[in-house]
Amino acid sequence: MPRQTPAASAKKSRARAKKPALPRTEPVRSWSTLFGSNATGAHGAAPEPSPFGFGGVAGVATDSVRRGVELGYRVLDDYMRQGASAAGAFAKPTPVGIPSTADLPKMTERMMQYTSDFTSLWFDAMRIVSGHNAGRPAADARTAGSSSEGPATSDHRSRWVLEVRSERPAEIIVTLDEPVTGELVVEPLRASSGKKTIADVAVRPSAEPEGPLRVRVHVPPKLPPGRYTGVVVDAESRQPKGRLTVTLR
Amino acid sequence: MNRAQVVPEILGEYGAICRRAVRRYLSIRGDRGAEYLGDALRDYPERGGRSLRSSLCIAVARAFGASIDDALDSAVALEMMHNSFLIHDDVEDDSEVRRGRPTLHVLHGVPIAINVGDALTVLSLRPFLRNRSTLGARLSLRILEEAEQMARETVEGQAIELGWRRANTIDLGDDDYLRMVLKKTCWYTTIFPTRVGALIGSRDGVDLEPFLRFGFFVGAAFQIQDDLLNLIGDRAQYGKEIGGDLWEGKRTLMIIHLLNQANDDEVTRLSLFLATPRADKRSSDATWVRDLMDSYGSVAYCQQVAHGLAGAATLEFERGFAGLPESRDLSFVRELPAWVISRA
Repeated sequence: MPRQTPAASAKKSRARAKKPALPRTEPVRSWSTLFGSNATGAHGAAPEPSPFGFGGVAGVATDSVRRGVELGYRVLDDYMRQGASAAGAFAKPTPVGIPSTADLPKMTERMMQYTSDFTSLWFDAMRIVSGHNAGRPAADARTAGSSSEGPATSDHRSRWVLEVRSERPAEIIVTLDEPVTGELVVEPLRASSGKKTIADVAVRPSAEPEGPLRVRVHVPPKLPPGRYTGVVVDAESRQPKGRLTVTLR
Repeated sequence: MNRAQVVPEILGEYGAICRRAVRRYLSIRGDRGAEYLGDALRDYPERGGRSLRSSLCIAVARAFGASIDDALDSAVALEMMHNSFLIHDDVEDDSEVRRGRPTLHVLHGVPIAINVGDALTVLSLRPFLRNRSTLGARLSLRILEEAEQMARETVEGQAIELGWRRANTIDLGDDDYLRMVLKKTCWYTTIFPTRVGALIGSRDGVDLEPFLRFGFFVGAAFQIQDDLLNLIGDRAQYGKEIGGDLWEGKRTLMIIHLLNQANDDEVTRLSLFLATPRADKRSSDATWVRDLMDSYGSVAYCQQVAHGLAGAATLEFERGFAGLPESRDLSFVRELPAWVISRA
């Protein structure tokens, strides 16, 4: 915490307290690779000239630049460490008979799932009662099953054909912007944590206006439970058109 | 795709969509204090602004595959909260000009300005709640949790800065400044929009930590550039009083650099200047501080720190957004760090 110094005694307080040395022996981040020849784009492309005015060459950046970046990472690391220890405090043992706060995330998740399920039922009921869509996305299909092949229907689109192969029970959510036309490409579905993917996926609109939308999801064997999400893009324009989410139980 | 143009283009496009939506939410019917609430509520949002926060939220959601409508209510809620923060900030700082016009409290007085700010915060709950109909209850609740943390971090950051001014704290380092900016600026300007955009776009399917990192660096670079523009910018483009931060005694990075570079006599005079209420400050002292900054290279130093932070933001972008398909929205996010430090 900064020392607070009244204006009148400002001169006296000039002896600044030094910060203790950091416990780590090397920088947390190698900022210098930013401008160096090792840097590559997100998609493996060659690095473009730096827009930051230092010529895009390692070693040209000044000490001030280096200092700003290193301080930035230090502040961020401190902040995240404080967040982790605050979260850890919630996990301390609690007296017998009182639910442990460590169970809170699970309890909250369960509660939210119940809420979500109830809301879905409520929306469906309201749609039936009022005779129109109660606010769901224009094209949105949701199905669940351990392994299914064959047609399924949705109120929002005339026909869907879902082809799912999975060892585990799988919930599939497809959300697409209307109108759905042309060829679509689905990026590999990535796990929310870890590097596992589901690559064998496809979403194909029918050539006929009222034809079915075909969705294929083939889950690789022994894939762990979790949520896998990928973007659906228009094959021609490469603009995002929606997303495909698979939750393995 | 023109790299330099994608940021202003998307800001213009998504900003216009958000302003229309904000207008709908702020159309209070009847005689519910229209003169002192309804008209004043719409004042700041109608003055324009860049809509950086709302556009970033929509662009990140789009980059992950969501539609504009999926992210619009969250973006609108954020825009309303932002305007509420601005009104209260202007009162706290006794600022005179906002977006090229007199501040709300200068026009209507402090009590009405504070009430309008409160009203904007309360009314921002409505679009957050409307998320339920488009995103479902579970995701809407996650977004509200993020909003709660964002609001808490922002007021904490503001408290730190106000505390420094109240106690006339001068023993500050760059890390103190960055810690304050992380809370005061970054959370609601860049961290929240990026995280919520990713939440919506992925349907809560990605780890949000990389977006905290990206948001921090781009937000810190944004704040330093804002401080610099306050000192050396063009008033017509900047929309605020040039030199206002100096008169208000704000602990900008330039002031902190100067406090750490100046000799003891200069620090004593500088400390007295910072402690003097705005109305009692002398123009000659402000000019002396400004000249001293030039002689110690404080402006150039801060420009370089901002460049470094923007570079780190680009690195974090590559980490957080890796694997997403190329799109105009993704380009916008990629180009944002360069834009924040080059804007006039």
